[in-house]
Amino acid sequence: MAAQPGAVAVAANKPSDTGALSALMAAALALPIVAVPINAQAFEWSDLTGGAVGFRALDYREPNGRMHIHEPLIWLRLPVAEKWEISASRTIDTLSGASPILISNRTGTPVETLTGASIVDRRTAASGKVMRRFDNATLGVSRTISFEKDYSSHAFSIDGTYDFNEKNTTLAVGYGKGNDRILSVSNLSLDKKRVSEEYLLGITQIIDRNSLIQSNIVVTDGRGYFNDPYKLTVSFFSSGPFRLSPDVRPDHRNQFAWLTRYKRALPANGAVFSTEYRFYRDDWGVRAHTVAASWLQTVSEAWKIEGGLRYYSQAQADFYRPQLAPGPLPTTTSSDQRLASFGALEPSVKFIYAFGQGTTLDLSYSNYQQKANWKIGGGGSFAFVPYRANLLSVGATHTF
Amino acid sequence: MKNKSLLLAVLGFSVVSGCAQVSLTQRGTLAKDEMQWESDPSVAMLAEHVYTSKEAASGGRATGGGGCGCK
Repeated sequence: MAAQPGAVAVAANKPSDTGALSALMAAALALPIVAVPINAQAFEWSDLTGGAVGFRALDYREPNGRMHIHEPLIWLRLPVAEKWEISASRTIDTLSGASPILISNRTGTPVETLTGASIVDRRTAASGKVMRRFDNATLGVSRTISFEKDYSSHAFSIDGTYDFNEKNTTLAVGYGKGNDRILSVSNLSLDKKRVSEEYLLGITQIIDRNSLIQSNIVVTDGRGYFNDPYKLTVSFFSSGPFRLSPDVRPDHRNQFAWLTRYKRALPANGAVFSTEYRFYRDDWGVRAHTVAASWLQTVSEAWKIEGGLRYYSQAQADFYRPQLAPGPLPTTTSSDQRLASFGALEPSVKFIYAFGQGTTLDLSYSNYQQKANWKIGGGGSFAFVPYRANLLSVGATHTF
Repeated sequence: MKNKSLLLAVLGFSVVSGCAQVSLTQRGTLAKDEMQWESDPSVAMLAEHVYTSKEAASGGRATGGGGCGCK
């Protein structure tokens, strides 16, 4: 999160193993396929029983010397005594580059100003989960922690699933609570808190022997400090002095997200089609739609290729203002363009190689871009600066 | 609002009741890794981190992940 002052203006699997039929059948009999994966941002677990360990490294790079993030991650899933499962993950991401810190309309239109010197920040995060399986249900408890020099987060969640309809349908419920602490490297007196509570209700349905669908609703109630302590807006007017305003957001945020996703295997083609849609709204006025689809194609016994496309569109927050108007200062205002109206597209490709029994290696690439006129219906925020990033990821998984 | 809820409930019931009953022994395909929602958990974890740092919307997959200073 850290940004430093001193700004300089610039224009702004394993595949089904051969000989593992019995294991596959055992997994099938142990289903419900389902379980809504709880604790997503910290971790999402496969519903297959059995142990697994994995590694992934993400390289995220914005052009023109902006952000570069390197994020390695290790994870582990370990069955214990048949009915129990323990899982954990650990990541350390390093961030460097220039970040938007100030929006100024001195040239006539609002322009981003980046931090002059490259900023460096590091985040360490870890999560752990214990889950108990019952005949028709699961119960899990998880814990996630995350630390940066100017931010820390402690979260926990409890979740459960219940199977019925001869295990063709699974109901999931979850509750999570996060406690965040916000500091600032440029304002050492800043020490604020934010608390958020999340509630999940989900259902997963097996449609036929090749397809299934899942729908989740997550409601989040957040209270506390939501401002970005590093962002400033400078507004010049045709007459009179300029005005400098900090980022001031409401002290609460209620969010609603409804995600529905579908998977269909096409055994005759050696392929799996996946798609999802998410509707999002919050009491800041943001409305967003996300649509994604992917096609996983088996090329040979060892190779698979997956192509995907994700589209995102959002309408701006009520208090998003890239420049202030003359008159009284609004009680809430932010020029953070992540709160603006825009659309985003992300095509991706992934190559997966299986090394025989239970070990896979994959390489994936995606190009993420945001533009104002990609918003549904066009007409995004006028001051929005187009944005893009390249993401390269390497991962390995071993199941046992 | 009440009508919308009723419509959703009817739609939901229709979907569930309209699905074929798939017995446990017919789930070989559904049991494969590629049919899991997150067969490799690290993929979703890193992707969500990117999206939540660049977009205003988040959530829908699960609860209790905690925050980061990226937004």
